[in-house]
Amino acid sequence: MYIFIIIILLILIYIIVQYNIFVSLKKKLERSKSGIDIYLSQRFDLIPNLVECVKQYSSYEQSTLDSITRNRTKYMETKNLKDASILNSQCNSILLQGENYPDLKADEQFLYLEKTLSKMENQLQAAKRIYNIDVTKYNTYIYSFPSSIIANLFHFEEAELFEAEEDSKENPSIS
Amino acid sequence: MRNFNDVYYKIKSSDCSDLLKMYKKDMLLKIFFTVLFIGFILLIYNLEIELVYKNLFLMSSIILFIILIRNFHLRSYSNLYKKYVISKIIENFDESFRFNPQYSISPSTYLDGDFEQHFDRYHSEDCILGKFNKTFPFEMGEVKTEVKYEDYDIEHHTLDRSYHTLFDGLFIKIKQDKVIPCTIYIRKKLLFSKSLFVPSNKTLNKKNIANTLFEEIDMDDSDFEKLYFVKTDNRILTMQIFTSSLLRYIVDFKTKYKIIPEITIKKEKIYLRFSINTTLFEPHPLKSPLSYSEVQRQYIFINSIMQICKDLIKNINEIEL
Repeated sequence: MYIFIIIILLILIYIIVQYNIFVSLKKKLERSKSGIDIYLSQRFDLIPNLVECVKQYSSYEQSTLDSITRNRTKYMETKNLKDASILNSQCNSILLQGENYPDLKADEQFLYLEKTLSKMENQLQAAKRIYNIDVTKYNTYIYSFPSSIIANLFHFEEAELFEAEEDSKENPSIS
Repeated sequence: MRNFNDVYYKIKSSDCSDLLKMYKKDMLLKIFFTVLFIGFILLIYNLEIELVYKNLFLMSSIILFIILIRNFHLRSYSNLYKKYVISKIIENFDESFRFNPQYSISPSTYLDGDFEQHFDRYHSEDCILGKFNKTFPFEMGEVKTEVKYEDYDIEHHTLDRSYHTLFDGLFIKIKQDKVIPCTIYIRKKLLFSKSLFVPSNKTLNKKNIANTLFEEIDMDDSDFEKLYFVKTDNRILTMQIFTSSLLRYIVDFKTKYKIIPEITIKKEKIYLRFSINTTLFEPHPLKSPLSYSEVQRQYIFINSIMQICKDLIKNINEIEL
């Protein structure tokens, strides 16, 4: 009888410990994700200034600029990583306009924005790496045995990795 | 920086007659001791002792002799080797680098790297001083630290005293001009626990810094994770400095040389140490000091170390604060 109680207690202790591990991994993941959100928000806050700057000097399509502004608003509401990826790549493509318009490239405001956005991009890359590490650790724990039993019991679900933006997956052409 | 063949040609074309004379002297001495040892072995073999004890004694003598002859060098031969070969290789990396066998890294500089809290014996030699990339003050040298162990009796008299080596290898300090607002410790994982990690609570409490400032973070290279743990007070800057390619390079360095470098970054100072249990910058026990393969071995090793330093400085310079 006592042995049975001890076994039940041990199992309960194991479940509690595993549950707490899952919770701490998930919280760590959320912290990393909020880190990305902060850098993305800081970056995207500069988009209106960037759009205004580009409009003055380039004949960049109005529809594209409007799309960027809309995507920014959408990201601010949803905080969805996929929306962030799309917006980030649009932001990078605007910065590349500097190469096509020398007047734009010489503009002080544009130079300041370019430098600030570049700095934020580097910080963002680091934040993404940290996030992906935490996601990998969390997902590995979800799928490993016997922690997978606890994961299923308490509905801990796999988290998404932060993937590279579509345009950065293609090699840039040298022409 | 010239390629290896140019460096080798420069070494070979310089007047190394002193070095070659000392090499011959060194080899003659080794041959002499080997002949003496063979005579000693034959003498022992002819003694009337139990065969088992004889064989045991002979085997251990042979092993000891091989170890001694491998590490034996005339002091003057080693010094000339460093002067004619090592210094030429090192000067190739930067014109300002100068090899000073007599100069040593100060204990306070070594302690500043937070690799150890305390040692009882400290020795340093074979220093290289200069300016890395013609700009950043650079110090590199051999360092050995030991700690004392004493056994006492009931009346507190010392029964036995011995010294245990904490570290024996290469230590590097670079002071670059960008002040990074964080501290990063890259330390090799030890068999039992990270309780041997320095700085431990003692060092941090001494400086009245809360231990919670330093968190342990994971890196995105699984091989790197098996070898190291990383403690820092700024995850983002750590990730920016230790890029995936640098992590991979450090792992490849370990795979090739079986040496695990440890790194500390504190504000503008970078400290590295490489635990190498054989003497550095010493000639090969048998090969000629000017043999192509031997010079290349030293060149590639020093080049690999410099590459880690270059990558660290490059990554730090690319960070916009």
